Amino acid sequence: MRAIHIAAITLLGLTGLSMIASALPASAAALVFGLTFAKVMIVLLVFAEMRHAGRPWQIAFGSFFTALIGCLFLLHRLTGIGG
Amino acid sequence: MSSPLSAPAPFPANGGQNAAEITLADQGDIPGNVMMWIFIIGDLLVFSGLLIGFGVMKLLNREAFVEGQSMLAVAPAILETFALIISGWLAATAVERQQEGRRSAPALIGAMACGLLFLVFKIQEYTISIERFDYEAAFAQIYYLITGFHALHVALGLALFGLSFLKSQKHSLADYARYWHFTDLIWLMIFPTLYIIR
Repeated sequence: MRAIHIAAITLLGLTGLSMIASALPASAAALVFGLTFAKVMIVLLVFAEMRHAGRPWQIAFGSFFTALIGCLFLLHRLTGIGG
Repeated sequence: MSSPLSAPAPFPANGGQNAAEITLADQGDIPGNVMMWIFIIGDLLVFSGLLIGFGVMKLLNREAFVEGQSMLAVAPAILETFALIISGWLAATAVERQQEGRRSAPALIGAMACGLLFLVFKIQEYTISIERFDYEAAFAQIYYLITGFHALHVALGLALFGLSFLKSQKHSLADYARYWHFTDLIWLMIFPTLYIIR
């Protein structure tokens, strides 16, 4: 299976998950944000793949996005502690 | 007397406290389920990324993309557009009828039928597309990704309407109709970008 097929299937799977997550209470908003973030990252990686960006670049880009999600989630948790 | 270099007050007329009240009031005015709005806005971002990416790829590889666009089956795509617009109107009618305490089932069935018709036209379009151009081309891959992803959203919307119908149209119909209009809106961006603008 090629990278673009894996990306497309992941995108479809994440969309299904987002739809299910949108039925959860508003306190689970961070989960929907996270899923959306992952979908946007996959779209960007698809274009990187189509432009024949090297694998190290793609891994670096994916890691950067994942780290960014992690930081945002951590900030969300920290700001939620006092509230 | 304030210095001309000093930063302007963010809310000069009302002051900070009043502005905060306005913000809270605005949040309270969001109609329907907030989670559905997050989902819709999130997927708008995803589709924006796909369409901007398509534009950039076209800019970098103009000849191949224009050639690919000229081979697309426009007639089924026009029929898909009409099916979705009529479906959106019927969905809005169903919500309006529900709010007035009238029967919403006929309009909802009509909306679902038009949505199903969209998917039938989409399959017809794909059968033509498979014959016309090479799947390995970058244009074909991005075309299938964008339109296929949108078709999945339509199929999800149909499933939601089906769920609402099974629950006697009382279950979140307005939220599902909002999602349905989002799929309409996305298609109205995809259609000119992929099929019309060369």
